[in-house]
Parts: sequence; C-alpha cells; structure tokens
Amino acid sequence: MAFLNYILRRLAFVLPTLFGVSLICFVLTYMLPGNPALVKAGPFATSEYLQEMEKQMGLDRPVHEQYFRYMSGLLRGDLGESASTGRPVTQDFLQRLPATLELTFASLLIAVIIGIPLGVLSAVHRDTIIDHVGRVVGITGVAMPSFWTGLLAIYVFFFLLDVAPAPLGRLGSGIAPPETITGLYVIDSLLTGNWQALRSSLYQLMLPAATLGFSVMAPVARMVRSTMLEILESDYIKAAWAAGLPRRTVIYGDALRNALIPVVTILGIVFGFLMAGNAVIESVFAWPGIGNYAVTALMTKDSGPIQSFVLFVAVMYVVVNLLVDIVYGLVDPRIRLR
Amino acid sequence: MSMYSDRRSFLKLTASAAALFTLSGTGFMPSLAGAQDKRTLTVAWDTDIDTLDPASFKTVGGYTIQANIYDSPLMWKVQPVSGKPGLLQSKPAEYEGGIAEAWAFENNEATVVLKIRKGVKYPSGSPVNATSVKYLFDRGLQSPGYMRILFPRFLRVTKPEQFEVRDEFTIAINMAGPSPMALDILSLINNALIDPEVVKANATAEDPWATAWMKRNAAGLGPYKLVKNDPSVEVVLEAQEGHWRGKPFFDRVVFKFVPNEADRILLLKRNAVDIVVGRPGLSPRNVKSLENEKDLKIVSVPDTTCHWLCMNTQKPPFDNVKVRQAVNYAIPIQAIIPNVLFGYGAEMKSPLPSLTPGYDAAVSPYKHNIELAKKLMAEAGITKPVPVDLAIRVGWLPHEQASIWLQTELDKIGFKVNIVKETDATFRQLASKGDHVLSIESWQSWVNDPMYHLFFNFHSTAKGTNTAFYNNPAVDKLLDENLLEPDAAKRMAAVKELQKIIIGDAVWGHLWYDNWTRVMRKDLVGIEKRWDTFERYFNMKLG
Amino acid sequence: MTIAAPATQTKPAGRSLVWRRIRRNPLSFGALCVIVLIILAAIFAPIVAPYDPDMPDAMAAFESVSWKHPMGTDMYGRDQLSRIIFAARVDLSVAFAATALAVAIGAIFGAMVGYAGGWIDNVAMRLVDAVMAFPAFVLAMGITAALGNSTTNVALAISITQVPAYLRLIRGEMLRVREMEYADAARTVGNPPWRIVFIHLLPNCLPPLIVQATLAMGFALLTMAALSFIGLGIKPPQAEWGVMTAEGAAQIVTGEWWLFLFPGLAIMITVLAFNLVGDGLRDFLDPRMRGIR
Repeated sequence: MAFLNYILRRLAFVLPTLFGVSLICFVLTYMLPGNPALVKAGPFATSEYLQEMEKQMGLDRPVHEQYFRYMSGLLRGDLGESASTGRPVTQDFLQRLPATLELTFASLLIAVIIGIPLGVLSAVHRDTIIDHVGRVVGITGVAMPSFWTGLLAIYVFFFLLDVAPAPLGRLGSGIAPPETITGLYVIDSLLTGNWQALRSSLYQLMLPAATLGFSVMAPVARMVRSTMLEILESDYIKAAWAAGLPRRTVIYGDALRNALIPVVTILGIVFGFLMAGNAVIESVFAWPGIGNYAVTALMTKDSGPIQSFVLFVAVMYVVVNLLVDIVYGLVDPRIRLR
Repeated sequence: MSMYSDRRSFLKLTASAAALFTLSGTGFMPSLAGAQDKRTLTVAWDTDIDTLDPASFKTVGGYTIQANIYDSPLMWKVQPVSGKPGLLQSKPAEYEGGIAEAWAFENNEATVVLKIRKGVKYPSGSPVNATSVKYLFDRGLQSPGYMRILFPRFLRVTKPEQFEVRDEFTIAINMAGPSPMALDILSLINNALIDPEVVKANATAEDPWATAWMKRNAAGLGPYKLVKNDPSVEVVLEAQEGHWRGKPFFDRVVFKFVPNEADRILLLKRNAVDIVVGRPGLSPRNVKSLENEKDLKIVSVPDTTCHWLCMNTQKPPFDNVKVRQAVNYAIPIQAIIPNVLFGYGAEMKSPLPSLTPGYDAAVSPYKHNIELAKKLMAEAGITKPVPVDLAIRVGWLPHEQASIWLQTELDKIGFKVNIVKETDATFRQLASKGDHVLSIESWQSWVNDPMYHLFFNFHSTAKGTNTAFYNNPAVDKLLDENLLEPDAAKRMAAVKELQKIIIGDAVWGHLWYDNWTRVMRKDLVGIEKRWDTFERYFNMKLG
Repeated sequence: MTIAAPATQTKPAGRSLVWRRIRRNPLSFGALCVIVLIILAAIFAPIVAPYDPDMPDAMAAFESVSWKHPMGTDMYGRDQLSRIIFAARVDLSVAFAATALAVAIGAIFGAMVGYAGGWIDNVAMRLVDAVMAFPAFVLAMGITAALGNSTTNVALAISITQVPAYLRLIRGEMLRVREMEYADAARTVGNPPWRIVFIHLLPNCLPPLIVQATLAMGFALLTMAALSFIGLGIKPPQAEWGVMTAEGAAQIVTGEWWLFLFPGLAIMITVLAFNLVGDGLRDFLDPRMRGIR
C-alpha cells in the first residue's frame, strides 16, 4: 500500500508539471514569427483568402481563447498540420517515434555499457593515471559537438574505411522492414526471426548510436565513480575488506551492486540528453525520427513542428522521469518513506 | 554466493552486449555494394511532398513527383543540346503533344483546340477523353490553387463554359481574346490528368473538388505511379503499366530523403545514390569539388532563376532612386561569381532572365564602381552611415555567402549592414508584410515569357510577388497594355521599354542567374530540363 | 576565473591542503591554465590575431594550413586563426552572460523562495519543474525558433534553460542553512530578512553554485554550436565557434579539413577545460567527498 501511495504522490506532482509544460509550449507557439495562415495559403493568396484562413485557424481570437483552442487540440492529440508533408503532425510523429526510441535506447545501452566500467575503474584506481584517462575520455565525449563527431564518424567509417553503411536511415537499401510489433526494427526482427532485417538494422544503428552514446556516457561514468567511491569508503565494505574477502569480490559484487542503484536516477537525465541529441544526430544520419523531422520542417517550410517536438519531448521526458522514480522506489524502499 | 553470481551475470551482460557491437564491425555486416538493381534509379533529395493536389503544391518534392505521375495536355518540347551529351532542354515557344496529341488555333488565335489522344485509359479502366480533360480544367479554375489565378489572367478564361467539349476527343478553349502565353499555360503540370470518376467519388458537399482527398492521394495517369510516400524517409515511383508513351528505362525511382548536404556528397562519391536533385540540392561550391570525380558527371546549363538584392522601394533609404543606383554600383559581382557560384551561374544584367525572349544585356549601365556609388550616395544626401538589416534565409548557402561580400562593399559606400538570418516561414511572412528593407530574393518563372515574369515581379497589383513593392504607373500601364498583345514585335518593343524603365529605376540590385546543375553517375543520360526546372524520369537511362 | 573565491570561502585547512588537492588533480589545474590562456587571447585578440577576422580576400580563399595562415583560410579568404581568436570573445561572453544571468536570477529568486517558503515556494517550484521538464537544448531550440536568433536571444535562451538548476540549488541550500544556528543568531540580533538572506546565507550556498556554473559554461558553448548546425545559431558574419564548426563540418567532404577540424577543436578544448575544472571543483568542494582520501 505504501508503494501505491508513493506512486499516487508522484503522479500528483506530474500533473501540474504537465500543465506548466503546455503553457510554456503555447507561449512559444504563440510567439512564433511565421504566420501559419500565410504558410498554408501560399504566396499567390489574396489578402481576403488570407483573412479567411486566419479566421478559420482562430488566429484572430484573443490570446486566452487561442490557448483554450490549443489545449483542447492537445487533449485530442491534435498538433496541427505540417506544411511540408501536408499531414497531421501527430500522425507524422507517431510514425517516426519508433525510430527515435530505437536510436535512444541503443545509445543508452552503449552509454551504460561503456560508462559503468569506466566509472568503476576510475573509482577503484582513484587519482591514478587510469582515473585521469577515464575522466578525460568521458568528458571528451561530452565536450565534442555531436554533429561534428557524427560527420567525422561518417567520413572515416563510411567514406574512408567503408566499414559502416551509408547514412540513409534505418535499413539498407532493398531490405524490407520486419513485421511491426513494437516498431523497433531490432526487436521486431528478433521476434519474427527476420535475420536479414536484424543484421541490416543493427548495422545501420551502429554509427549513430555510438556517436550519441559516446556523447552521454560521461554522466553515467561520473555517477558510478562517485557513488562507488562513497560505497568503497563505507563501513560495511571496510568490514568486508577486514574480513579478508577477495578484492574483486568486494568491488564487483557488493560495491558495484549497491552503486548501480543510484545510477538508475541518472538514466532519466541521460534520456533527456539523448532526446536533445537526437534532433541533431538524426539529421546528420538521415535517421527518420522526430528530431530530424522537426529540424527539417524548420529549415524548409514551417516552424510549427519544432514547437510540437519541444512539447512532445518534454512530455516524454516527464513520463520517463516518473518511471525512473517508480523504479527507484521499487529498488530502494527507503525512498518511498520520504 | 549471491555476490558471486551477481558479478558473473553482470560481466556476462557487458561481454555479450560488447560482442554484439564489435560483431557489427567485422564480417557480420551485410554487403551492399553491387547489390543495386540496374533498373532502379536512386535519387537523393531533401524535400517532402506537401500535397498531392496538382493545383496547390508548394514544395520542390510536390512538384517533382506530380511532374512524373501525371500527364499534362501539352509539354515543353525538349531537344538535345550541343556540347552537353545526355541532356535534353526546352527552347522558348516550342511544344509537343502530351495527352493532347495536336493543337490548333482558331478564331484569330482566341480559341485553342486540343485533339485528345485516342485509346488511352486511366489505371481505373475508364477512358481518357475530352470530357475528362475538361474536368481537370474545370477543377483548376474553380478549386483553390494556382490555376484559379493563372487561368483568368493568362488564359483569359473565367467561366467553366469556356472549356467546350466539341466531340469525344476534341476540346476547345474559348478565350476572351488571344493570349501569347496560352500554350505555356497548357504545358504546366498543374493541369494534371486526374481521373474524374475517382476524384468525384471522394468529393463531398462542402468539398466538391475533393481538395482534402487529393492532398494525400494521387489518381490519374502519368508515366509513373506513386507507390510509397513516407515523408522524410523515402518516396518510391514505379513505371505505369501500358502507358501511352511506352515503358521507361527505370522501373523504379527511389527518392531517399537526405537532409544533410555533406551526406549527399559522400553518397554520390561512394556511388550509393545515382543523382542528387532538388533545390538547393548541392551548393555551387560542393559541385565544384566533385568536378574531378571519375565516376560522376555534372550537367550544368544556364537557367531562368534570378537572384537579386531586394530593396523595399517604399521605405527609406531605398525609396530614393539614387540610393538604389548606388547599391547597384556597389555590388561586387566580379567577386561573387567566382567565389560564391564557382562558375555555376552568370551575372544578372537585366530584370529578365537571360534565356527569356526580349532579354537585353546592353541596357544596364551597372558595374562595380565604388567611387560612383559614393557619389550617388552623396547626391542622395546621405552623409552618415545608414544602419540597415539584410535579411537572408537559413539554408541558402549562396545567399549567405553573397551577403558577406555585399556587406563589405555596402559598408564602404555609407551603410552599416547587419545580416539577419531567418527561417523560410519567417522570411516570407516579413517579406509579404513589407517588413524587409533589404533582402536577397529569388524567383523562377514557370512560364518563360517576359511579360509573365515582369508582371509578377514589378506590377503594383502583384501583391506577394512584387517583393520590392515597386509602384510605377508607367510600368503598370505598359504591362497592362502588352501582357496579352498578340503582335509579337509590338510586345517585344514594350519588353525593351520596360527593361529600360526598371533598370533606370534600379528596382533590383542585380545579382546572378543560377545554372541548372545536377550531379549524377557518369553513364546516366536522357536528362530533361524544362522551363519549370523539375526533372522528368521517363527518358532517363543508363548509356 | 573565480577559482580563488571558493578557496577562500571554504578554507578547509591552510595552504598545504589546497596545494595537495591541486597536485592530486593535475588535470583540473592544467584545464584552468588553458581557460586562463583562452581568456587572455580573447581579451588581447586585436594584438594576438595576425589578421582582420572579417575582411574577405577573394584572392586567398580556401588556402590550406601554412606559415602565413597557420589554420588556413575560409571560403571568403579570411584567416581562420584570427577568426577563432576573435570568436573566443563572442563565445566566452555569450556563455558567460548567459550563465551569469541564470545564476543571478536563480540565486536571487531561489534565496527568496527558499526563505519565504509556503505557497510562494510551492508555486515557484511547480514552475521550475515545468521548465526542467524540457531537456535544456530542446527548450533552447524552441525559444530561439520563437524569438529569432540574434546573439541576445541565443544567450537568453541558454540562460532560461539554466535558471531552474540554480534556483533549485540555492533554494535547497537555503532551506538547509535557514535552520542552522547562525541564521538564528542573525535573526535575534535584529537583522532584516533580506539582509539575512543575502549577507549571511547566500555566501554559504556559493560553492555548489560555482561548480554548477563552471559546468554550464561548457554546456552553453555546445548549445550555441548545435543551434548553429540546425540554422538557429548566432548569425553571420560574426566569428563564432559554433557557426564556424557547423559551416566547417560540411567542408570535410570537399577536402578543406582545416575548416572542419580547428573550430571543432576550439569548442572541444574549451568545453573540456571548463568541465575538468568544474569536475575538479566539485571534488574539491563537495562536502560528501571531503572525508575520502
């Protein structure tokens, strides 16, 4: 019951946040300089037609009415229409979401797989050359503009060395996507036993996921390092040392297991970094996700989708953080009592 | 105990995941080279289809796809160009039959009679005849879109009754009088051969022309059919079975969406795509860098796209003709042509494109002369630096590069230029409200006719396209009187006069004409360049 | 920059401890030197830079690395080394202005809210939650898309995304120290509330704030670069690392590797330096770390 109570309390926190998010997004949309009616009406439109359009879109109404209109649209899942694809933004987003999620999860996996050992090594060999190198490697990943790293990776691994595929989306040319179950090609092709699609999708995923993962592994490594340090100094580990347990058993068994729990909390933040990185990396790798879509819309025709993207990502981020909190509450019972 | 197993499972997880990713770097990867089908053309572009309604598309992607999935009544005739192997290009006032196999003028050129090709069927099985062609004209005239504006003014048709079905395969267009632009208007792909039965089946009481349905669906006849439209991913065309023109070389045309220009270049260099299209597609600088690639070919010919420094003639300081003239003398075109266009463009010497009938390069006195420009600024009474914003669009690389050269020179003659980069939507919004004082604009006339071009850019009533807000009753009068003038000699005399006035008024700061440039695999031939600049894939093949 | 401040603030123990810590963390010390060098170069840019950074030279376009142009020239024939040096001015001042503004707003409101408590605190924290619900770069993207991409707006956007972090941090510290003895002491002596807040309590919150601000400098530089890449960055022809990197990134395929490499390196080195210093400061100042050898 305590746990249910905890979840309810978390939910009660989330609702005002979501309201605030919608308010901020409305302000941003409202302040957009391009006139959406003009984009829709086209360059040859007469001024009467334009006015008619504005009326139709409710642009002549007072601000608060526009906000209600915006909110009721949001609640119905209506984010307006894209001028460059001519389709509802929501539909375009939902279609692209799996691509973004697949890239995000793969990058997260890479960040965790590299970040955790890096953090452990740094902590165990604190202030030695290993620690310094580990820190520099981690921070270098954060310090490079990700589009720069991505283009460099494409140039070296696709163009010069020819070990990576052409940056042309999620599957190699001529390979049909697997049957849709989750929308994530790697998972779907595993589930359906479609090895060709699995190979191709992993191959396409390799470079963008590595680029993105590399750029966010530092927070993971840093978190692991500092919690690991704390734990290694704690009484019960000292007791374990004193009891003469082998060094490796202590570090990789007890200490690491306990250090991994706080890492869960940082995954929410890393997820936020990844969503932000997506906007840029997807465009570099022609990855058909929502970030690429929003940026392309901004560059070519209309800035509407970029605000929808901002909203969409914020809502996802809130939900992910909620999930992280719940998971954390699950693994660490102390937190529920707070 | 539990400690031990925990450690093992953790290490196992790390190891297997690491293996997964190292694996993909070795023999595990699928080989893609050489797997390409000879009958599939892979195109890289960076545009989407905004709508499939032939009356109202606005994106390059929208136009290109429609130009390949629909037939039009007439087509601009294309012919081989000497010195440009593999290229076919249109010439002014030369046409060929489309779905209308022949055309003739009657009634002192006030009536166009189209003979519709016999025995042609829509994919649905219903026949193509004069009635179905009338439907496409009727829809163009009455549904929202471009044709509703173009038909009354340039085809002199205001009522659907003027499209008259004479017999099963003959349709007459009874214009209010002769129009020199009639055949050009009939060659526009906006007159797409849609299937009336299918369109009507999707019409509603509020939407009698099925504009909502036509946005997302294609229904009609053309050399290719649209089989996949996955925005920002790919678009796939397949050859139409049994099309009246025959079978194209490429069974499939796959348009890959590649938003990043650097990627498009790498894909070309690695032969992962066959051609890059679209605008900008590739900037001149990058085309230049591909000149020595042994597997690639660059096709580049002069075109009708104009780029100019747009001055708002209603706002100070550009409401003063001396200031506008000074600007024209300050444009460092000799630096811009080699350093921005790298030879893939030519100096603009008239408000008319160089390929347009009536173009006269001898009228303009302007060439780079800072001293003269300074003198004109002084005559205009400008003594201290005038701050001015120069608006350009994000993603238009040549404009951005030109703006840097322009800024340096304009600052020399007494401006303090501040470059402002705007997204496309913002740029057009501010331009249409007249909030740009100085900007770089561009224009390409689908119809290669001097009056058409001058009307949209310089007539005071051409709201939204007269970006300089130019208002000169003498120009308006000349345009009104000669727009549809049947006497070619008289019309050309007016064109010459108009150029003189407009150049004298220094309405535009003349910059350059873009070349039409495409980079493609070496053995690709049958490239067609028509007046609207959008390629057709029907004649493309591997040589 | 203000490395001396926290050292005097916290005064953990004499000079020897400070020295020991610096020695133990040579990386952060090296990074600090790098930052000082970059700042000096920025300040003395007109003296250090060999050429006028904005003057195009049609005859010298796309020249590769040479003694005359150690980092080559760009497509306008401008000397890249000079541009990178002058760009440091813009980059550091935008990053600094954005961070300073965020710190100022965050600190002032955080302290007030934390001190006031009650419903004011509640409302403020909900607002902070809402802003923090956006990944920082995504929000910066939305703001610049809405406001337009002038230098001021870019700085403002970065600043807005940062405010909540400071606000929260200061408020948390405020709640903690408010209950401490010397706050009580100050109150009993009859100091007015604002005086207690700003004179007595704020200085105690400074160390974590400085760590956060140092790390934020790096973030600001990266945000500017990424905004430039998607076309929302600082406008041309202003020499700015982000714009230069975004433009240079496209040149890698045409062979002008120097236009790709150097601006990216400039960002990387600077961000790396700020992060290493921030990291070092955190180790140095974080009370949780203090007991650990």
